[in-house]
Amino acid sequence: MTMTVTQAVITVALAVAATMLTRFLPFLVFREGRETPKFVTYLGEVLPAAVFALLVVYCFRNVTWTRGSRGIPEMIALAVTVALHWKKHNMMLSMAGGTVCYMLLVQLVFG
Amino acid sequence: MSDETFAINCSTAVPEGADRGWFYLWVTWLDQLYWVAGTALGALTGMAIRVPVKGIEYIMTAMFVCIFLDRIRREKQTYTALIGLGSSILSLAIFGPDRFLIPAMVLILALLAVFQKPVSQVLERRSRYASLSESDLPERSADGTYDRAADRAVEQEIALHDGKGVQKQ
Repeated sequence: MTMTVTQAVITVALAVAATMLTRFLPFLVFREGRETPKFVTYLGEVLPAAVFALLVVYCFRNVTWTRGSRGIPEMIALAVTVALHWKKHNMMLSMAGGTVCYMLLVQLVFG
Repeated sequence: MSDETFAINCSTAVPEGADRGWFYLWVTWLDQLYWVAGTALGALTGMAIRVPVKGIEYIMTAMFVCIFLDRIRREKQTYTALIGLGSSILSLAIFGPDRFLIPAMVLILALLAVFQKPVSQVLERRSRYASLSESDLPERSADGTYDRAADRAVEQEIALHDGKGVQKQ
């Protein structure tokens, strides 16, 4: 599908407007100095853990559990990442360890 | 503002003496710089890389897993994490990988709203644990949580602590 220049300009402009609106809105609605509503403060405390849980699930959304490698390399690499992070508390190490483990698994074992 | 910027800003403690606003601004603009520069570098030199990189995308998964674990460890509670995990997995099972995000977010928001009272109470209690010194705390069980008996012991400890605080004034 090719767009005309006008269509492309409108598309990009809409994307820019939507992005800016969602970024600026919180700062406009919740100005510093004015008290933030209790429910919003509560969400600020409880959302991060829930959202990162969502992001983790999102990363695994395309894993096929019933066919192919059945998510085994993903789960092994996940276990390695979690174990490393729980024991060593070093984010770089956990990320590198988990990723290298996954790369080895999908390239050499499950390839 | 990107996922990564949000992740860093909400997981890093602002260094003492630094201005919160400037700190966040610098994190945000450096992130943007790395993103654009990294993408440009990749686009220009990517063709030259011959190392087998299949599976490298797992680094993003690993990063989110690490931040998620840090969050749980810092908050000393898993209720909100479990709400997030449960809602997301349920939504993924029902709506499939291409359209589960928004239902998952709605479900998370609804559950957090419904359980606002008990969850707030837990959060408040945990932040009071944090204000006690380590030696005041009972032994933790192996998974890092407090068992019920220990929980009650800490309740008493807090009551004692509060009593002392009042007496001092």
